[in-house]
Amino acid sequence: MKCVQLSENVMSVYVGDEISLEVNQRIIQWVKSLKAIQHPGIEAIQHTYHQVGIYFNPHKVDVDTIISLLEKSYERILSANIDSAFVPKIVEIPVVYDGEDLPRIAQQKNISTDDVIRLHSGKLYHTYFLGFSAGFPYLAGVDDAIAVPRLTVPRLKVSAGSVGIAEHQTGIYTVSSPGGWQIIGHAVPLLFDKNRPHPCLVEAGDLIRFIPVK
Amino acid sequence: MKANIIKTGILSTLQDAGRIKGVEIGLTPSGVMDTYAYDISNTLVGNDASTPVIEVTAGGFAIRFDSPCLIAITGAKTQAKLDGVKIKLWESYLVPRDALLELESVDFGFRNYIAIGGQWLNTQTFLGSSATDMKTRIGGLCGEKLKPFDQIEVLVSGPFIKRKWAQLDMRYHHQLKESHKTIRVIKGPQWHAFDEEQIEKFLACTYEVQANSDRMGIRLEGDVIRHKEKADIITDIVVMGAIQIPGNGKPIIMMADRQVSGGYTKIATVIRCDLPILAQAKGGDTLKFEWVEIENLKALNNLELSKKPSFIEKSPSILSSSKYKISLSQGTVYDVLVERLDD
Repeated sequence: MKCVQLSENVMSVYVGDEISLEVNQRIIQWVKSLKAIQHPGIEAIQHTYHQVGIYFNPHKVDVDTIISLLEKSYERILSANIDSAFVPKIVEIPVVYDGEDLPRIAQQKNISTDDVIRLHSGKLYHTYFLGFSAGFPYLAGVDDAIAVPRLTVPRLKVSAGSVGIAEHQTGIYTVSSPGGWQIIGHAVPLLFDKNRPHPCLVEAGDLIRFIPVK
Repeated sequence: MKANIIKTGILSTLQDAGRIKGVEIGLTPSGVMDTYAYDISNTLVGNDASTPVIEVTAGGFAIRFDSPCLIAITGAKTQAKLDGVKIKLWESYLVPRDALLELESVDFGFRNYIAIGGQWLNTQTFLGSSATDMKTRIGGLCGEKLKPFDQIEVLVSGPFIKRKWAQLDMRYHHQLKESHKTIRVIKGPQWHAFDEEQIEKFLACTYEVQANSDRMGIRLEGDVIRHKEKADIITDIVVMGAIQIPGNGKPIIMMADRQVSGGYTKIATVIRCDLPILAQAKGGDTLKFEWVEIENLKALNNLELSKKPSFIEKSPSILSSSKYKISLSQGTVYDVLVERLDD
């Protein structure tokens, strides 16, 4: 555990220095327990693959209190077993595999586009966290056979719903934005819809299965 | 009261303190760029700290108020006119019915805040904030920037107390006037990705703000900063003021519309009380970074821009010479003739 203060109002903790499923599962569990504290001085709790960030109001709570709160709860999380009773939600996302980069990926990797689709949709992906844009799920564990780098020149506009690959990560663009991930298809449901009771379709810790549709 | 937008300049949006809770779902917090000018503008019109305002970039803005209300303009030094008569910034004005407010060119600084006293009725809120996020299309009016013919509805209620901000924070006031700014930074989470020589270069260089800077990031041109190894890291948290060094070695300071996580190394972070100063930097301005030790950060928590209530309250002043009906808060109605006296 390494505390790094990001600004006067954000304290963060890095756990390890790699993308690890086990570390991330602990982080998700830790964030849940931190949120349950409902400290009036804490404004938001964000996490990534291996980092937790606490946004606090320095007028209501001081840095030392935040650090000791993090240290105490971290010890509890370390000593606890990963909650075996917790069954992650499985979210099935229908995808039309018609992405603009799909043929090139197949060619580069010397496999057919059907192979790319089979390899991408053939496994369950753990949602490490939501980032980049509202409800954008960071998924890792993409098969070596279809892992491709980001585009050297990012596209100025990637449409909402685009399913992309960047090395061993895959994700779904939730709003139209510039982006450098290679696009293999388009998800049918909206990943973020402000008008739904739960605007984000998936949350950290969910398992995602891509279902190829025509 | 309905306010009709007539001219919007290069970019005008409705903003507030932002939706910090958004970071939990990957959503940009948005919100005002200059929190100092924002807070004061709402104080001057008697609003709660989280009330929306209009953020105007580089002037060129015009709005007409269909009934009397209390307004205040803060931020960049700009020519502001109410019905053609020059008015001052950092104080509130009671505007008469059908008054036209114009912000002309900006003399120095970049962004202005227009607060309107009362309860804002027709902004869209998400996660408790009305801040416009144009990328996600939430907040403000339909998640979009303001455009001519847009209408803002505010439930105006008295008493209309005219307030004047007596003393601006010295540092803010001084830096606003300067096209060269000194911005204080603390170590970023990846400062160790740079050797001493590069960090010295980063602190010694006078950087120029690029014209393509925006609410998302302030892009800098100057000495290229080289990484010890690579520019990419495992994606982590990006806070407001974080200074990213991408592969091309040119710093980008991440601002209100930033993405909340990213995969570039971050060499430093601008301290919070210097963010309002940075928010007033425009293309062509220059800036230099000054290192502040992280050990002193706790002391800096008490060193926020001075916002202690320092306003002078006056009775309402009305600008043009014509007949008005003034309702006082007690409900008594008087017919009065208001004459403008030349200064």
